[in-house]
Amino acid sequence: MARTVCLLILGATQALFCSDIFWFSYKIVTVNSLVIYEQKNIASAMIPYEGKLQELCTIELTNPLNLPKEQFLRKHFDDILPCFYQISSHLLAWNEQHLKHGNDRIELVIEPVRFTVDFKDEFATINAIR
Amino acid sequence: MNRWFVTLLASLGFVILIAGCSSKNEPPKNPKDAAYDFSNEKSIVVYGEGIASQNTVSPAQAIALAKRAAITDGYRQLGEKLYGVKINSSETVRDAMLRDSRITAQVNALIKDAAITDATFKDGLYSVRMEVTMSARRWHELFAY
Repeated sequence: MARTVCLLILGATQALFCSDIFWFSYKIVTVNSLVIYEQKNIASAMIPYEGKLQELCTIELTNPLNLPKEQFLRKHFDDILPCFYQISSHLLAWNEQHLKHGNDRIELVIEPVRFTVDFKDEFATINAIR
Repeated sequence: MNRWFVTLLASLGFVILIAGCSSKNEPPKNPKDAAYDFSNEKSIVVYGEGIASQNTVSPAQAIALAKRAAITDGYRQLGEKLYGVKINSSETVRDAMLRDSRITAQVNALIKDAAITDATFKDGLYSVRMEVTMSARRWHELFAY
């Protein structure tokens, strides 16, 4: 019983300290220059991680309603997405030509990366943690 | 006089011969040194294109999706230049006539630090200019593993 309580306290503490670290990943699939699939992921990190900070960008973004950070980031996913393009993007492309027919499919994946957001005045600074 | 002329010509020929055999004073090139050479930077520029979809809830969504398709196309072109394209092709000819033709091109790439330097939207076509600066040193830093 005591061990369970200790583990619960440890878990809660970790969640509290990790609340500012998030995971980001993204996948997009286009066929013949049209977007057919998008997968957008933002989630809180469950385990604390101390890595090297790499500033990705500073964008004009405010949180006037004081929404929880995760919810706010999910809401503004499209605004923060361009910041992550510069990180390693994995690409798979197929182009098939069969007589008169052509089919062009591209899959772009931004691999999962930890990041933090710092709000200051009207700006938000996004840092990747490596 | 004729003997002097022949001697002069022979001397000149000898000097040219010796000069041709002499080695240059350049130090031998070490392949590892090229990795730390900052001078040979080269920018790779591509223009990615994306089409605005008809099935969207608003024109803004169509533009946003077209931009993403254009960026994806740009990445593909960068991947083609950095890693190359794998081509598979087959053709069937029967009775001296082409019956079937299939060409498959594949790109598999990992791209880092590409920048979008310009973007335009006109007549339903979104075009982005993308750029990645590469040198031998940078290549090793980003892609060698």
